[in-house]
Amino acid sequence: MKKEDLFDLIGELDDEQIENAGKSWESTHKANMRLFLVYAACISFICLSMFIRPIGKGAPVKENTEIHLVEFNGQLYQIVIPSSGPEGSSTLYNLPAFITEKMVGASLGKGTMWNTGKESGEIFAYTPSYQTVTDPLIYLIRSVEFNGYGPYQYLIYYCGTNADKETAVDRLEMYGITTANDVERMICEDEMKTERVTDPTLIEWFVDSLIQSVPISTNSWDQNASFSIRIIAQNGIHFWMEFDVKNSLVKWSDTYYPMPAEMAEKFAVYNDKWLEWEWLQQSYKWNNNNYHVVELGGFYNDLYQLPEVVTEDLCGKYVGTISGLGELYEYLPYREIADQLLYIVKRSDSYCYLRLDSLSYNIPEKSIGELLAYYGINTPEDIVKIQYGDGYTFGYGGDLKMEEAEKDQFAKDLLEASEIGFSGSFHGWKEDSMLGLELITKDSIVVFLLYDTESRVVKLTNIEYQLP
Amino acid sequence: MEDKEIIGLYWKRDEAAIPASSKKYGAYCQTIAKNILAYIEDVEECLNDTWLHAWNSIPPQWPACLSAYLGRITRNLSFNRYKREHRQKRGGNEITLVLDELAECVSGQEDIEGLIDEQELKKEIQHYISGLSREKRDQFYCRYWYAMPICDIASRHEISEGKVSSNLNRIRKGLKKHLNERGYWI
Repeated sequence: MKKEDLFDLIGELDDEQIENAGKSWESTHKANMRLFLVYAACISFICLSMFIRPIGKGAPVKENTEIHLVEFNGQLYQIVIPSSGPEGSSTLYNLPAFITEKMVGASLGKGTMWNTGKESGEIFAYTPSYQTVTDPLIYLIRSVEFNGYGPYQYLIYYCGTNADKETAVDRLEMYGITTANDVERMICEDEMKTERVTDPTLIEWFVDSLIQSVPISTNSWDQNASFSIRIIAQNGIHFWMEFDVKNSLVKWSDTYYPMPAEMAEKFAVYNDKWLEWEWLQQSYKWNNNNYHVVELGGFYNDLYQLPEVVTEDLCGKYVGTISGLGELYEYLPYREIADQLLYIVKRSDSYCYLRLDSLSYNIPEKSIGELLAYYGINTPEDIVKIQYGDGYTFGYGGDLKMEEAEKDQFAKDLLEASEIGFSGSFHGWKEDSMLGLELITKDSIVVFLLYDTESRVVKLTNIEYQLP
Repeated sequence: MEDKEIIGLYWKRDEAAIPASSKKYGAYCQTIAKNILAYIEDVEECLNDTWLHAWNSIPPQWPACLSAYLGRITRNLSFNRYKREHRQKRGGNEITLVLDELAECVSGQEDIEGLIDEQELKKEIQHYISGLSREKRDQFYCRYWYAMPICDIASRHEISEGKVSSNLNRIRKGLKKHLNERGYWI
């Protein structure tokens, strides 16, 4: 992309923030120009306000926070002002932020304002071909009270007596869903994964659970542990809600619906958030650090070239006890590898290997030289073989081997790589260009790293380095 | 005059909409154009074009925020003119420096294969900017939306020019990292 294109793109950013920047800019300029007058005005205002009593009952209510209801054809409808932004109608109801003349259909007459009993503005059919909320749930109203926002507003079917705490059953009904059969499919989506849910049993379980849920107020919502669920009704309407796997909450247009605890597990195959969360839960605190514990055996023993049977002879010095796990001993023949620690744990009279992966984000970052030296790699010749597998097959290399010349160059580059920094995630890594590499040292130690062939970035433990 | 009244004049096809817009937002739009264009004649022409574009687009548009709407038209017209002039080697204004700074965030290569979804990219940029502190967000918009000189931003925030430059530098690096982490290698 060219710099001019980026400048153009920035020009299309959010109106509101731009206006705020512009507004205060104007006011700052004025303030700078006439600072004395402004100070004088402020002092005068403070003096005056000490003597003048407020007139009226209190501060005026903000117009756009009130709910304006219209009774039409025996049903209640809410006037919704077209607006963009996270709380705006375009987001909440998936409707356009501007109503144009083309959207206005036939005149249907007038209704009655619910709070005053007066005649409402003229009501029209809503005609866009891409409409997402079906007739007769939505109309347009031409209302003089709201003229400041444009000639037309939306008129949306109003269910419930408290807009912040609508029951899910009312809300689902608004989208044409009364039973699970009305749902065509669901899609679980987050930044990493998009999966279709078509299993009718699961959809039925979800809809039933949601219908039975009573909305609550909560501050427990954890955005980091949430993923989106898109629901596609049989009538073609799409709408979104989010699910927080940590707190088992569904968030739907800022209303929270508690769900049964097993929901996270039921949706685990469609989204990794629960697995991530569950994985993080299995952590242990030790020496002021949090570790995820992996019990080694079988495959891992081969991988790390560990003796199959763990005996007391392999135990080094006692290093401490982790509550719930047992006594930890150093593994004599092995060495500490950056943020992954290998120990032997003693439970009753049996021993097994444990790998402790640090979950702390304050690990002192090491240069690649320091890190490789842990494995006994100080020169390119200390790496005798490099084998690799594709994509996420991290640790499963071995089918393919780098040619001698390629290997030597890679080893040389690796030792000269510059540190980018700690990264606890795989954001920015592309599956297509990512390789899981195994470096086999002259001491037969297997060192794992990830390599992006395009950007020539390697990831060793949780630190990323740029190859020259 | 309130914004809704000005927009109302446009909708009624009342030509009074133009002097009303000019009176209320003329100085604002002129400053945006001045930051981008070097010659006052070009600035004046852009302003006249801004009112003409507004006249042609309202209706059917009903801008939710008239200042940003008009400001955006001015910005686009000025920048298009800058690009045209720049090809003819006529100098720009503050914009030349602004673009050089933005160059740090991009590869400089054209997206010939059309791999970048601009709508998604815009959302990501918006997401990043929204996560900045109010002060930094304001500095970002002042510099990269309004193309405001560093000294003006410093005076507006009552901080040193060095501090503004350092903040903008961090924001640019942060933006690049944010986009890269989400798979955008622009």
